[in-house]
Amino acid sequence: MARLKPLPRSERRIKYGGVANRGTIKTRNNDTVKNVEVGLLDVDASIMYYFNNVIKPTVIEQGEEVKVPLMYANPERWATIRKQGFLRDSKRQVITPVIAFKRTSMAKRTEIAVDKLDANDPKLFYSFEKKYSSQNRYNRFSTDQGILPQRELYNVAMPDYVTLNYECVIWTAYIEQMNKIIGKVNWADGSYWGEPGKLKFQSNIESFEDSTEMGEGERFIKTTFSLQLYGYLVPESFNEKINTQKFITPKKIDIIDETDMSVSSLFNPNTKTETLRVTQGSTKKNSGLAGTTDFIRGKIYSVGQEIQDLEFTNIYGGETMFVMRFDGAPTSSRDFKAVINYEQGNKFYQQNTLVLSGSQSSSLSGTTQLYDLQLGSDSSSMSVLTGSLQVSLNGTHMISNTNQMTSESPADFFLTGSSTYSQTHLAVLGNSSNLSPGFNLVTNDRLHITYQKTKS
Amino acid sequence: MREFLQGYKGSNRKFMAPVSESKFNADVMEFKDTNSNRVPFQMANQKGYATRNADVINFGDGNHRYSIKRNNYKLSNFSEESTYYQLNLGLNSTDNLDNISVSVNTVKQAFSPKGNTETFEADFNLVDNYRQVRLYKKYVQNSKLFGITLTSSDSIQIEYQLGRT
Repeated sequence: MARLKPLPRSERRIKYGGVANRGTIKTRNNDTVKNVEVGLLDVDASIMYYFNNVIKPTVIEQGEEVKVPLMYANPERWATIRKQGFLRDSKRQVITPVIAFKRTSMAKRTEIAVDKLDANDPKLFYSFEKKYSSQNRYNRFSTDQGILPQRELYNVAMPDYVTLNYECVIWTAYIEQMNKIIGKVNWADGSYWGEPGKLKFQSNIESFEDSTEMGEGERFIKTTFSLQLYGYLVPESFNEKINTQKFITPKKIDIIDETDMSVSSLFNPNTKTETLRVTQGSTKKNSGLAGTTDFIRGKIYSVGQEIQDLEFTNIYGGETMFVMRFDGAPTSSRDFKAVINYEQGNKFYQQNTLVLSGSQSSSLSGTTQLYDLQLGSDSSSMSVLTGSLQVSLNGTHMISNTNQMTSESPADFFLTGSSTYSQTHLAVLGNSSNLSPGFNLVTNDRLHITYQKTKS
Repeated sequence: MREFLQGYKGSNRKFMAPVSESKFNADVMEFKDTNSNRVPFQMANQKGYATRNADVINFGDGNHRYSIKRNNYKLSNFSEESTYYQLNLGLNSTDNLDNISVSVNTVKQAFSPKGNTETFEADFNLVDNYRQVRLYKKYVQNSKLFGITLTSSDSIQIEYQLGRT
């Protein structure tokens, strides 16, 4: 036999559709997920199930409840039904009651505008995710490397939506029995027929026709009706291509350096991109350590309480280096690790300026005049930072002691408190003589006061 | 009694969430506790500096806002009008003045007791949306003397902290 000459590569691609991308081929050897397949038999079986397990047609025969058998009318049976008008058993005894059905036609549902587009290479899919994936088993390596939980996805080609027509015939001995059966079947019209948890199809029965007739000296009560099921069909495979395809999402995406490229165009789940490296330009590299949650932890203050603060550390379980307090504010003047936001930053580091007149003294205690520094709602939690208080009188700077808290000479003023809160008031000393410190303030005098606040 | 409830390694609990209209941007980084309640901190990644109360302040922003700027001026630096002298401090478009202190020949000038943009009993005030200083010439109000008439030899010192818009 003459050996066939190999086809050139370009012609092979045309003839056999090219070489499959082996990166997308997944082994299904240990897979517990079955390929999806819906055939005509599944639709027929749903009718059998629904009649036998849901409608359960029965008749009362001589005081006993008798289950009405359901049978699929194969061609031989159907020919007998057509010829004689009824069915006989192997002993030529007429079978009543009985229900027989037969699929008569199938039509495409044109009102549903979705399709697989190309049977050889379907383009439209339903996707579903397997809830548990063995790829996601917990291990130390995954957490150390910051590997993402992978998701196991299955794509199933879009089915063909069809309408299946069935011809059904019911025989009974008495009209009373027939009425009950028709009542039940009619009640089931419009519902989804099929086994729960499996395939179900919507049903439709337009009308029931009474075909009662006399035959061989006997009267047979007979009713025929057409049953429509709105079904869908998808074969397990077509032309050696399985219609259920497995995908696994990437386990890790590393972005090593900054880039002005569009990352979204490089990241493609189908190719299972694991690492994206752009090394041009900088020598800086991220460490590629575990997820951020390992270095941030929540803190609660009592059992059963919700998490309040966020603590940041450099090693897992290590010392807290920064704390984000739940209310945004440091807890005390020694809460050195608390992170500051804009609101708190302004409170602590923005200078406060007041212009008061000499008569705005809230009290005159001996020779000391007190001025409220107007901390307002912060009075209970904050105070004036010692060393930050500056006072000028009519444009001239006044002098305080180094700690600003004592009134000894040469202080013109010092920092004091109200009856409730400490370090919230300015005290200006009155001067007993021209040579002693302090000033005796009058209404027209103006005090220009500047200070910073701190946590009490 | 357990005081700490630590984040377990490898868990999916999220303490941070990027906020953006774009998938790959994090214009604002929000911090949350495990119940996804926000703690009052966020990073204004897009702007790089704080403008909202919850925004975290970085070192650069802190220096910019809270360091005290001190400049000396002469009369020639001011534009003179009939009743006042006005000085443009040349701030960036995103900056404005948060608080200010003005001294002339070491004598401190005061703004109005009603606020630093008011003219009532003011030696100076802020105009142009907290961006320019208006120093008033000597005038009398309520039988009291305010303002100062400058000469070319006067030394004007202005200290201020910045706010940002």
